Amino acid sequence: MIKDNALLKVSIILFRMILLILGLALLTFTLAHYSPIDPVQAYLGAETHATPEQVAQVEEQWGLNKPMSEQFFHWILSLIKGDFGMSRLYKAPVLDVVSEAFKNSLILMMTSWVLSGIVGYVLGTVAAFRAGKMADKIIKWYCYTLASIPSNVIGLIFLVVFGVILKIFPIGLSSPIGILSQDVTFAQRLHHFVLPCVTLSFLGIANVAMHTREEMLKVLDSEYILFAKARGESTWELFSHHCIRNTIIPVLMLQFSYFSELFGGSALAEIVFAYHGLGSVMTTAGLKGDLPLLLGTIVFSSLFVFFGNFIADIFAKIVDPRIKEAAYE
Amino acid sequence: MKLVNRVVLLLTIIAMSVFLYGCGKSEQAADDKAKPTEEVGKTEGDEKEKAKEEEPKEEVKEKTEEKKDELVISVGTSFDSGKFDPKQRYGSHQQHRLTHSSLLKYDVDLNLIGDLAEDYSITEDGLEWSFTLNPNVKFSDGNPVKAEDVVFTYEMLKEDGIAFDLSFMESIEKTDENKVVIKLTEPRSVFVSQVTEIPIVPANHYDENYTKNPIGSGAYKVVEYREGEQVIMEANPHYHKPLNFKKLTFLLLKEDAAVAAAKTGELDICVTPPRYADQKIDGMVVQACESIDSRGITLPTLPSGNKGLIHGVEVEVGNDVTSEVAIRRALNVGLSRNDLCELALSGYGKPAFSVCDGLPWFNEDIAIKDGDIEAAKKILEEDGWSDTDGDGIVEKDGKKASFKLYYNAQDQLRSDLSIGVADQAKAFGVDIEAVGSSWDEIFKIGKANAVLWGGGRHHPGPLHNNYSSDLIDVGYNNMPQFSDPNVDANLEKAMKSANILESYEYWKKVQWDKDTNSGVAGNMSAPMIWLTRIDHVYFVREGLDLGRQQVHAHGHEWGLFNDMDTWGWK
Repeated sequence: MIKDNALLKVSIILFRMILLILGLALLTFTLAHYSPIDPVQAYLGAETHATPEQVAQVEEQWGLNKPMSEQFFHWILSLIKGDFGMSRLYKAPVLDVVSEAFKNSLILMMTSWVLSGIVGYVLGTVAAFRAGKMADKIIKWYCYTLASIPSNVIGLIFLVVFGVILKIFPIGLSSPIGILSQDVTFAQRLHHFVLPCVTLSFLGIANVAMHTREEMLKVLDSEYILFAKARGESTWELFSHHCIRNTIIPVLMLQFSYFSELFGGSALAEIVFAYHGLGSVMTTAGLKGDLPLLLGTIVFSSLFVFFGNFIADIFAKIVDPRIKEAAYE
Repeated sequence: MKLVNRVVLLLTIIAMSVFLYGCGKSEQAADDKAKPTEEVGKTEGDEKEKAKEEEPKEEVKEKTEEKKDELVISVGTSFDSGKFDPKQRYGSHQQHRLTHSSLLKYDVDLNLIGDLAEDYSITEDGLEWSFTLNPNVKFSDGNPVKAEDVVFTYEMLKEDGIAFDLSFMESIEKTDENKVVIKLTEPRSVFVSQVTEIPIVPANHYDENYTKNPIGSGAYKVVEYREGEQVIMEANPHYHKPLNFKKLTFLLLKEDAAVAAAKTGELDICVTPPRYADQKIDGMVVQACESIDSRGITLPTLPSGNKGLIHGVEVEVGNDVTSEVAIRRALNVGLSRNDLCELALSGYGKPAFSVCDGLPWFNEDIAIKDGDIEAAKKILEEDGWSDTDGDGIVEKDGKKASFKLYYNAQDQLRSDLSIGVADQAKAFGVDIEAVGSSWDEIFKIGKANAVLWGGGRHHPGPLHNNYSSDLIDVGYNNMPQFSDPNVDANLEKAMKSANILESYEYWKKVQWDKDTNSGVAGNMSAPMIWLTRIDHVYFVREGLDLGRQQVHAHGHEWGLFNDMDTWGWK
């Protein structure tokens, strides 16, 4: 009985995921179809001397002379077979291009995700426990300021301060200049990783900290805290006995649903730091009208965001029985 | 509640690992912070220097006898255009000089000389081109470049038909161990563009994965290619000339990131848009290279109401104002090219009167004294244009001298030039509205309006592409839909010349032919008004000698690397 139920739920989730990807792909196809970017022209460049026959040849090769619906179904059929098609720009299988870029982005995003979650939680907690005091004001000021600056601007500031003026960190790239991949040490990679990662974390911190602060204040305002205080529990005891449990779920859920913004921020940071990741690949694919590649990046990024939200759901259900029960009703 | 504990435990573990990671980071940071203060020099924060060449680099600064044999270069993000594969148009902008060789090349004075070929000859009817290969040229894997490789490359590209136009090549044959004969279906002097641009690839190695492991016969070989980040090259050990630099690293950085990198002292060469060239970078000097990278305006020569094709799409053709030759000639003499160079290029440019100024096939007689507002006014007045309603714009037969000039809005330089042109034209009563747009839109309306155009190659091909009536409606050629029987006759003679040097005379006549008093020059038919050619500007490490540079062609990422054997330290 329970097993059947679980199976059903998994199928529903899978079905939703497939619908999401189909919907996004259809949207991308339509937008690309009506966008003024002519993929052949974008590929050949503004100064081409290609004859109309040659252009027609490229169009045929890419299947552009077929109606949009046919192109779309062809893409879906190949996708079912696990074929993402060939990137027009890179002249390589989309899966190869995307998976390499996705790996780079994933490391960047996950590290800064964890970093921003923890730092944000700590800052939010401090702010709540010191509500109205200096520490709270400083943290609030910091969060509001950061929340209103896009990550590429922060990236540029970091670049100028730490890269150009202080020369502590490299100005970009994911590894040192002129060193072959196999000779790059872990420490060197880490060194190149710091600035983009910190840039990306900075925004998340503001988000998590402000959210934690609100949740924490709600808890601190409750009667059981009052009772605990009356029992003489110290601040640390209050925090560890009562606050963590009651605030961690909403914060975690927020953090997982933050995947989509994380992805957007990563795209900007990658461009500033010449860090080869999914964001920069997606930008290039979009600007150059490389539809197969664009679709590939969209499938990967939507899966990423989908799983973020999915994990947030699971977390909520595991940690809070009330939500679990509600789902069964 | 056990689950809650588990979650807390999990988070604690994550927190611990991040904390440890953070410690590693700060150690690293502290380590790096310490370094620059130890060093006397003001540069090098990167750990690469620590590992490899901290000392040599410093010594280069103090005493130049100690020579660095590696260079770090940033010449833009599209450096990798074509990815070493001729099928992806690698070579079409001279990118291939670093890594590959072609049959022929141009020397610094733009004489056609052998590259892979020692010698070449063209039959009198212009139909057969024979090349004798230099037996000393080897691929970076040590194998000599053979006639088979040339045949393979050309046949593959002819079959492909997209990257390079070889539709007029009838056949290519190996006639001897080191001899190749190419037969053409018709005489074609601009075939030099293909023989100087097509990089020869090894027949036994080339396949669809060539991009990942390219082998060529140029000065350098690609050791590692990191998408979107850097390209590492080492000297080709089998190159037939000595090279002073063992290793080149190309960073694929955007303009602002590249200048930032240059300021940290990590770059030896860094390309810059002219407007950034006044920045001071310690240890680097500005080097401006003359180019044939030209900008001009295309002006529809037919009145409105016609139809034509751009890139196979039917479009409106013609403009009632620009089709008046007096308007076009007034622009030619009235606009001040020197002022435009100052305005849009901070002085890093030269006036241009054609798409080939300064090249051996340029007709110097078409250069005039411009910026002459009175002369422009006179041309308009003699043609019946006058300002009757006092708004400062001239009219003729109730038609105002007013038209739109479209430019690609992403290009700052084209934008500055267009606005400058519009501003200057007001002085002699022509109203130009500069409109920023995208190439996609421009290719729909560009034959009914003026467009800020670009071009300039190391061969006379652009004269043919821009002005031949045969190429109306073909691709993006001949945007003004210009046709003139005298110009066509000279183009035909130039194209069919069997002797390349003789063909130059006809190319000059295309610009201005004294006998028939015709031509495409600004004081003749003027379907395009050429304005300026842009200097390619680089920040270059002090003491680095890039040899004598030839006039660069369009595409400033690659112009620098034609003769790598002439590079060295002063």
